[in-house]
Amino acid sequence: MEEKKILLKNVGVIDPGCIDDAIRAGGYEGLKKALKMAPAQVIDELERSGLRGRGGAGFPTGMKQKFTSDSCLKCPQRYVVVNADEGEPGTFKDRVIMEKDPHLYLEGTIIAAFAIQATKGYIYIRGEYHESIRKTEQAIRDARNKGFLGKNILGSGFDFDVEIKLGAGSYLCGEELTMLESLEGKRGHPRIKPPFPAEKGAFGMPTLVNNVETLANLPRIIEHGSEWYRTIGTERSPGTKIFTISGQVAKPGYYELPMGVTLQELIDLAGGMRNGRAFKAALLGGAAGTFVDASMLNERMTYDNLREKGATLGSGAVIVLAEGDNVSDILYNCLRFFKHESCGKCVPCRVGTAQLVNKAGQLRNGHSGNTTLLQQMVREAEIMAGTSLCPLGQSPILPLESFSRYFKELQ
Amino acid sequence: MLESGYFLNIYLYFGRHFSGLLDMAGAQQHCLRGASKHQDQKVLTDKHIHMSTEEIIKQFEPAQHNLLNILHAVQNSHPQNYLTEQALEETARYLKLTKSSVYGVARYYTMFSLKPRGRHLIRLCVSPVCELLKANDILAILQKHLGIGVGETTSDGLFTLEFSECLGQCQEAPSMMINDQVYNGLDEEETGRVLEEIRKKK
Repeated sequence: MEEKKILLKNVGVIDPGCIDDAIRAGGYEGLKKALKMAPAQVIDELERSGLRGRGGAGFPTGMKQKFTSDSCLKCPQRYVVVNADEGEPGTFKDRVIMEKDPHLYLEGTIIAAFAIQATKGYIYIRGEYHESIRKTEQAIRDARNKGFLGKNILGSGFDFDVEIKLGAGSYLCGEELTMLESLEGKRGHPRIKPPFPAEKGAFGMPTLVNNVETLANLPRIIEHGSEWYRTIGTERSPGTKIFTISGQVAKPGYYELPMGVTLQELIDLAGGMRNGRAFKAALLGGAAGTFVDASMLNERMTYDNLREKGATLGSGAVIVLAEGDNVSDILYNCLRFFKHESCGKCVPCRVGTAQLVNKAGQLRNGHSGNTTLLQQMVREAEIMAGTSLCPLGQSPILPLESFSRYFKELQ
Repeated sequence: MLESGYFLNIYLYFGRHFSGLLDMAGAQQHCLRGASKHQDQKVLTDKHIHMSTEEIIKQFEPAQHNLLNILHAVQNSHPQNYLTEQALEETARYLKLTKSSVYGVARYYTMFSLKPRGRHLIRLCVSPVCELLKANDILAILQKHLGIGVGETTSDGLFTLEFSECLGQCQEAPSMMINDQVYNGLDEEETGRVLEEIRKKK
């Protein structure tokens, strides 16, 4: 399996701080083409491309745009919000785009805004990503000077401008509705869904929330067409995915591959296992992801195939563990993370995440060396999943259930 | 495959100590920037800048949605990396919010502190990847060098040691940030070197 660089083709080739460089490499061609189309045509093209959200949920992007575009025709304002709050452990794909080719996702943001006819956008970047913030700030400034942002973009009559909003160390704000709360200047507490952001988002207006990597796909799809796009990847998950592989592999890093690559192929691409150690497990999708063992090495990593097998693709994070590593240490770390990030609004999540950490500590120390403890934890996580408002409380079940499926015998 | 390895190597090599060098070299050659026609947006203010809280706050439009950006800017300007009660009050007044709601926001987000911290804020990444690649050893080294525990400040007021969730630097774990600088691929030698370098600069 070879890398297929669609999104990252200019990474390392252009100077990310120089818009002329980006333009020479084909930047903003997609936007120019989009502005000559009708907004509805742009949405149609994206729907036909089959692009699915790269933030983790895999929701069809074109459909989301259509909902946002059609939801409230009388509303005075519509917004595009870029989810650049990349906080899922093991994930750094958005950082790579923002630091190495910020114009790509900025162009995608402008195309998305044109499609739903939004005149205002926000880019919500996590506060720790200083380099991404600086690069994006520069990109916005340069794009304004070139007339890609602002009033009457490239003479099309379309107005759009964008502003950066900083996160401040809350994982939960990566969830779209919580992000909107934070963006409005409040604590990051989740909102009740529905209404979805497409109906009532930022400041109560219809809002399109898209991940950085998702938006980075838009210029390419518009420029080369949906038919071309569908030749890459699989039928139900077209396109490429940026995988970030880390842990016990020889060359950890980011790799852009067609959807449908297997875990084994990805590990081979990352130089194989570190120091020739044997593969033991991988955590797919970060803390809110699933453990897999060697039996999954040759499964195709697409949204649907992994879901059918009880695993998740999530953000594309792959954390590899080798023989000799303690899987329950990593489970403990994930659960500790959830406890730290729980906002405390829903009691089952606030109390449950703390209890799970206690029990994971016992599990790790081998005090209760039996499966009863693990069964209790899975049961608690199930209750949390059913009774918590937002994805945080619904997440601990993912690593826990998959851990108990594959690594029960370790306990 | 070959290509990817090549760029990865360049990235790894330059990323460690000279991040930005490549960009700058490129910019000098062929990227001439004219003066901006628009007022520059400045979300990240310079560290420990000499401006009064009032001056900093007034750079922003008085709207609640600017609250987090304002708190970042104000905290960033303080030599002790924290939000004073007076700063919170001024912010509340400027945005026409209650003091309690500003306090609630400042307390909620882990990057904000209401207590004085060291001039240099160390955030050690404790993600699963960093843990797997021995972040605990780095913690022990930091504690040995600094003589403090997590959440504490050295007596000379130079360093505060904190944990951070995943910093997104997993390609070269273990990692930490000191103020806005990222340090990757840490081992005993590198960690000691970084601290020494900062101590010398003060």
